Amino acid sequence: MPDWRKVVREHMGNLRLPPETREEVIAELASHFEECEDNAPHERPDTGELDVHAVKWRRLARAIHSAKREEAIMNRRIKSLWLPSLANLAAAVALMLLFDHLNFEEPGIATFSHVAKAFRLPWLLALPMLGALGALLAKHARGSFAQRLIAGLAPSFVWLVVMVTVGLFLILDPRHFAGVSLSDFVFSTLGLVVLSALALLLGTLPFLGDPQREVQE
Amino acid sequence: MTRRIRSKIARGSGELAILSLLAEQPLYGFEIAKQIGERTGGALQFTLASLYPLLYEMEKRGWVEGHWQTNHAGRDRRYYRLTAGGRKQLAPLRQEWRAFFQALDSLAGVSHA
Repeated sequence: MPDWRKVVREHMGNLRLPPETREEVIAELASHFEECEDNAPHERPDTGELDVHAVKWRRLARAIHSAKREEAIMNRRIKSLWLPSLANLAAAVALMLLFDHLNFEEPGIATFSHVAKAFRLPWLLALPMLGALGALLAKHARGSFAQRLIAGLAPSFVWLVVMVTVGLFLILDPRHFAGVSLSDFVFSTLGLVVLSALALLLGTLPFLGDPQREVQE
Repeated sequence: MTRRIRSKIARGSGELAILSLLAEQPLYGFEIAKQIGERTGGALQFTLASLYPLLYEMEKRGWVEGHWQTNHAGRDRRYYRLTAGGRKQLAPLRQEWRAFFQALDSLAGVSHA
């Protein structure tokens, strides 16, 4: 019996994959030849399989490289998660700046006496559309349930990170936040993170249904 | 029919065949090819060059999962099993193909008796 691993390696040695992955592919293809040989007298899936010269190795290497490479995963993730999330975030920030410019209140940390600043009502009312936008883009890119949810709620995640960072600074060095109490900060966080998340979720929900299950039903 | 369309049909039918088989039990590459050949009376045939790129592609999409395991003959083989994602993919794929054949049948009367 030939050393199939050696035979395959001779043909697939230049497969452009990480060494560990390449070795696994070589081992698997070699095991296929072993099986073909074991079954040869009686049965085998393809009569030309044992003729290594009949295999178009270069084409096979290209196909395996294309199937195994991680870029495709990255591209898909970019389309189904990062782009929808960024589009949603950009639209949310643009709308917030627009409403702040048109209106209404200077952006910043709110106080109990400036309720409108914490709860930007026009902005909050527009957020369901943006949640829908993010989730819809993710759905179009065949994003998973989690990806559609994240894309729909993306702005709230960013506000959360911002507010946690600001909160830490507020606790560590309150001098930079003269006049802003912790309760004011919590109040702002509620408006910016929690209410925005709820508004975004409202728009996201219709797009969370599993399209595959819909077809199935 | 262009080569592109033909290749898409072949690929789609291959995906459905593999997912359907793996829904029954985990199998390794050779067994997958063998069973597909046997159960379709040789109408569907996988070669080394057509099987593994497709399996790897399906693995990358998260439909199947490969793991090394010793077979009944005591040899290490890479078995593939269906993931939850693959199981979810199977029903709509079946539906698509059913609709495809129905459409073709109404157009060209190609269904079997």
